[in-house]
Amino acid sequence: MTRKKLSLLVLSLALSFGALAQNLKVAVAANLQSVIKVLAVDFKSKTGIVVEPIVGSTGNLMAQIKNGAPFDVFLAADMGFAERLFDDGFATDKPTVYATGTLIVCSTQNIDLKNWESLILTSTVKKVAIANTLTAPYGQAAQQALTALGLLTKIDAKMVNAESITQVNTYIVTDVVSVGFTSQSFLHDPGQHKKLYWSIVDPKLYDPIEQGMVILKHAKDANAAAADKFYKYILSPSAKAIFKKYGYQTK
Amino acid sequence: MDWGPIWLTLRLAGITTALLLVFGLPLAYWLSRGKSLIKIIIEAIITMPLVLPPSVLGFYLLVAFSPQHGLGKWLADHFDVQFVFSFKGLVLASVIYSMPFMIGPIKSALQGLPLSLSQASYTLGKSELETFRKVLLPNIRASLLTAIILTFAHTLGEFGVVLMIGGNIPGTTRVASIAIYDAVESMDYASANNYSLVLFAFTFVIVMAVFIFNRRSAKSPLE
Amino acid sequence: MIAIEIEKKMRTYEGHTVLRVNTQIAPGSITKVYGPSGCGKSTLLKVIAGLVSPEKGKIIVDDVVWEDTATKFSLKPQQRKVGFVFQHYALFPNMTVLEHLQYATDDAAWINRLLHFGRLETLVKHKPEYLSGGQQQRLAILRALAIKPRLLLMDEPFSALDMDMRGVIINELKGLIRELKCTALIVSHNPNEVDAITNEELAL
Repeated sequence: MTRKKLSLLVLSLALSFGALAQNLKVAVAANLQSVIKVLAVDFKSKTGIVVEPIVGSTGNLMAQIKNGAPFDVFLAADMGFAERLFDDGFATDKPTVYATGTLIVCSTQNIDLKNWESLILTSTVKKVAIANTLTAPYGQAAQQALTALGLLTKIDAKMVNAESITQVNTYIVTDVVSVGFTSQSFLHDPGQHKKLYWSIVDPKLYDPIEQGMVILKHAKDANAAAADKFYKYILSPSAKAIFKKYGYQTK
Repeated sequence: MDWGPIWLTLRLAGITTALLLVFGLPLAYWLSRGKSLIKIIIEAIITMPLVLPPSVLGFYLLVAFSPQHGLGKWLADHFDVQFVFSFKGLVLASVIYSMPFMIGPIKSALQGLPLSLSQASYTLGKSELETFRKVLLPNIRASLLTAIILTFAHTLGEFGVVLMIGGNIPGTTRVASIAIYDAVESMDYASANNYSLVLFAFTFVIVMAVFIFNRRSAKSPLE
Repeated sequence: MIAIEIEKKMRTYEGHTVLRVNTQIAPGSITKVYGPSGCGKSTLLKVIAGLVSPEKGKIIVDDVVWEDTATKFSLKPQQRKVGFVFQHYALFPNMTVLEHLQYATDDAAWINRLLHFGRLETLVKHKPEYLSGGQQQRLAILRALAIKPRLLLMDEPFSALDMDMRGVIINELKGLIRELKCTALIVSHNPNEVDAITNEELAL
């Protein structure tokens, strides 16, 4: 074989290997930051497919996908944003609920949060962190709960708006806020070593945080098959067991 | 359009620039004389924000001024002052972050003046302060103006640090750059465009006005 | 009387050289300072003016100690009242001719006399960038004289003046120095040019 043909062969082999070895890009809502790692390891051991998570607040990720972000699957923190993707033609099908999240109020200070609704009005609580209510479903849930309790306007001066659940957690952990509204999964975050004090926010105060999943039309050829496998895996019993361990509810 | 973020941004840039001018001039003067090791170290520290990612500065400020421990707690207990999630905090962050833009050009310009100028003034019996005011400053006018504009414009665009320690509080820390980011995030491209246009137009007008005013002596900030 | 005994290390192209001066300057004298290029003439003037510190040495002027490295004492240049004419003029780019002199003194009559002496009356509103080399040098001389110094140090002060102007200036300067009762040291590359004015000499 001539030199030229040999290099062409090597080149095309390399490219095709590249195509095969592409990771599955999964956009995940911020509250899934730690659980996705565990799911990815489990998925890889079962299928050999490597998952590359991209973490952000749900609304952000949706906007990025609409503007051409190269993701294959989207695990949102609600149904609404995921549905909009389907309506606008970016998803292959309507979203399915893969888990339901729980809102908690959390602090690194040893304060009794059982009656957080009244405690939050006192001077013990100086600053309250809430995720961006326009783009983060847990932020929306917190806003709903506070409104239902008539507290929203009363604590307006104490409110600090974080970009995402991740930033809420940062604020909690660096002690710059007295309390933050975050997801229960934060308590199971392996990277988190501080002692946390928390209380579940009455689920009746907010619309259920039904987290929806869609496969994106961006996934083509080999990736489409991988995306499908991942989709089915997330709804499988082994994935559900992992979600449960991290404080989510599954059907 | 909600003009709040724009006014807030202008206030932040204005106060930061004014503070940096007051503290920066003596500091730049001090740095321009001689080259002791401590001066070199301080100059390096001042220049750090130029190369440090804004989120790093933001993160360290967050931790340093957390009201639960250390410096942050001391300030909160004794002065009831909190630097996180407050306008004061943004001013502090901006001052640190924009310092090299004020000090750099001024120090360079002072060093560029011949030593004999100061010496001539001293032989006439003039103190260092009077020499600085009447001989040195007037002869670095162009660089001084450049430093002021750069500092102001740089603060206008500040984002990363504000994102970390601002808390996005309307009327207090929700500056224009954050408002634009938020608007883009929630796909409100109309608002994003409005804010961006205003900032762009404003900055452009300032720079143009300065160049026209200093037609002969203004230097491009790129020089 | 000015007693100067100093040692100053100077950096030269090839390394270091040491300036050593041990002399007495008589009050009211006009001394010409000369020597080969790079031997330290300008440096000596700067040491006397207090703009540069010697490694070792003592300077005593009329029984007042100006410099004593043994006790680490150095009188500030601001307090020495030395009129200094720099080799490259060191004029202030932001000031006009008149502003230069007003910066140095309040005495309006004295300023007018100096302007007449320097032939710069018609150029009072000009900034240095609009003056010729000779005019700039004359301004530098006027500025040094404006403070009515007790000691006048001049570093190549006539180099840019044309022959005629030089003669006039040197002649009138002699009179002014006598009037001010000051002592002068003049550095010149060209020792002959200043012979008309100097009555002492110092070779380095």
